[in-house]
Amino acid sequence: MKYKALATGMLCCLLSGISMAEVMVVAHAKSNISAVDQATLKKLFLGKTAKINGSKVRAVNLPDSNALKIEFDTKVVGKDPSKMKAYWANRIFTGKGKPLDQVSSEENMVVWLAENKDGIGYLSADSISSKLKVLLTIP
Amino acid sequence: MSIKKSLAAGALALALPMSAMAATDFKINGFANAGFAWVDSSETYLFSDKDGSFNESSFMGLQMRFAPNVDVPISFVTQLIARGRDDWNLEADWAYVSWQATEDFTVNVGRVKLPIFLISEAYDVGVTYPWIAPPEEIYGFANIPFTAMTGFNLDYNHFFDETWINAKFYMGRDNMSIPTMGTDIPGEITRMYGASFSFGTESLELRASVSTVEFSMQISDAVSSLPIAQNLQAEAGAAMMTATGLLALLNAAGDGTSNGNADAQETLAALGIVPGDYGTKQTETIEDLKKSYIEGQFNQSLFAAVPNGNGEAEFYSAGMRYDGDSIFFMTEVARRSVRGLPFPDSNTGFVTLGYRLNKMMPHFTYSVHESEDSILVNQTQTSAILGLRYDIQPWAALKFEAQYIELGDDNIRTSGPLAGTDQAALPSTGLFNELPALDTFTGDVPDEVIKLQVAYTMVF
Repeated sequence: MKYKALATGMLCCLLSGISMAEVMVVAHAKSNISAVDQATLKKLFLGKTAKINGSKVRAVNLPDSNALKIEFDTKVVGKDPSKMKAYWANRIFTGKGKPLDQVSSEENMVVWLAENKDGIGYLSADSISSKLKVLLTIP
Repeated sequence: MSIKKSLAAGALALALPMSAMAATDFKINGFANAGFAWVDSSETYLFSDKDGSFNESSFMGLQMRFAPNVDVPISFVTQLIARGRDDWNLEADWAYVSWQATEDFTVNVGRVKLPIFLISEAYDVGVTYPWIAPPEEIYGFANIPFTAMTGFNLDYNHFFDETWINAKFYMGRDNMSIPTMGTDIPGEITRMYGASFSFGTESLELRASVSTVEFSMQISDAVSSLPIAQNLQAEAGAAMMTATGLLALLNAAGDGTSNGNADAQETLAALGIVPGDYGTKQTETIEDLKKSYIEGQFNQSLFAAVPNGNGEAEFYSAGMRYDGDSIFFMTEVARRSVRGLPFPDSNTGFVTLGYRLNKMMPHFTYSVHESEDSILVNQTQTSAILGLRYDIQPWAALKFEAQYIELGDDNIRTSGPLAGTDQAALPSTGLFNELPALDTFTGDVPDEVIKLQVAYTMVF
């Protein structure tokens, strides 16, 4: 019975992505931005815009292999890791755009965002720091 | 002054010089392909033959992007590529400075790849498409023997909620060499310019473009010095002399009786020609003479009277690409029309359908290259390609391909002084690169070829 529940739980996880955590979209606590919608986020993380309501922002990413990044890309951008990689390879190598800034871990995301007032990134709920503010919570 | 306040002041003092100092941005990305190709022909097809070759689809690229100041929208981009097919010599198809004037409008100045067809700019980035390389009938150097230019492009992009549009204009110049008749004919592109317009959604792209290429080339000098040119002229000359001699003998021999010249009759008898055959032989010889004359003239038009000078080529293309959750569909048609220099016009196109099954994508392509009114080369061929892409990682894929190539029929000329003549028929050499020099006129050209390929492609 216990194993069955465990197996069902694992299957759920497998079917619905790697983790089930909420994704918090965050910025510097003193950022000009107070909120952001999913459509704008999608444009930001596809490199199609660098502005929210007219204010310049810099989107920062976690590494491709990071589970939270995969979840963010799937939920917000709507692309699986292969498609996301192909999309960015096309942009980067054909003169269409520059790659986004990237940090190696959620801890470094906190550090980077605390240093860059125009930054915008994403974290899991456990990594939220008082130096940051949450712009959007994606269930 | 409280401790808190002074701490804050200190922090501010520390932070100020940091933000006053211009932050630079430097990024390195790259891509690599390792491939093996095998062709069931002893002649070299593109870059491979029956011994197989790593050269055709093995290459490595490294891209550096440097922004001296993140607050100024100017960056310098260099992409260095080393290819097996070029003996791993480093070359730069991209080396430009980019100025993002507004969020929608970018100006790139320097060396940039030509946006001549839908995925020309992404030609080297294997993870962005299903095949090992985009179909050679349209993207290969036989159709477009130059891929980059030095000049500028203007790029306008606008994103709406669900859709986007892109308009691009470019202008520049370059050097090139066109492989013809087994030799590389050097040339200079004095000016090229073009525009493309595309629009689409997240998964769909529709595109049309037109480009003009003005070039100059010393074709006659290059081609008339080839041994084949000299041999063919000599052959045609010898055939004409034989026919003329035979006709003179037949005329002298009269009707074969004592009315005619006895010596001539004797010589003809020695050649096995008896008086009863004189009439038919005469008709045949006149035909032979005409044929040799036409061949001679044709060769002359080929090799001697080929103009040195300026030509102009126009490229028109229209394409669409749909990359959905499971279906991949892409089709493109292009026309090349050349004026001033004797390169054939071409009509090319392909259609690809792929179906994504988790990490696998089997795909099928039908692709055509048709030469029109050829004088120097006829490269008509069609290909059927069955392929499989397997995504090992989001950033790496393994690809397999089997290709069946059918070379086209003889190209009967439809215009010019030799229109309709059999002698002017030029057998297709397809996209074989060295055959034209060897086998065009002996007719010993394969009419079908099988090509097998495997490749690993990745980005980093």
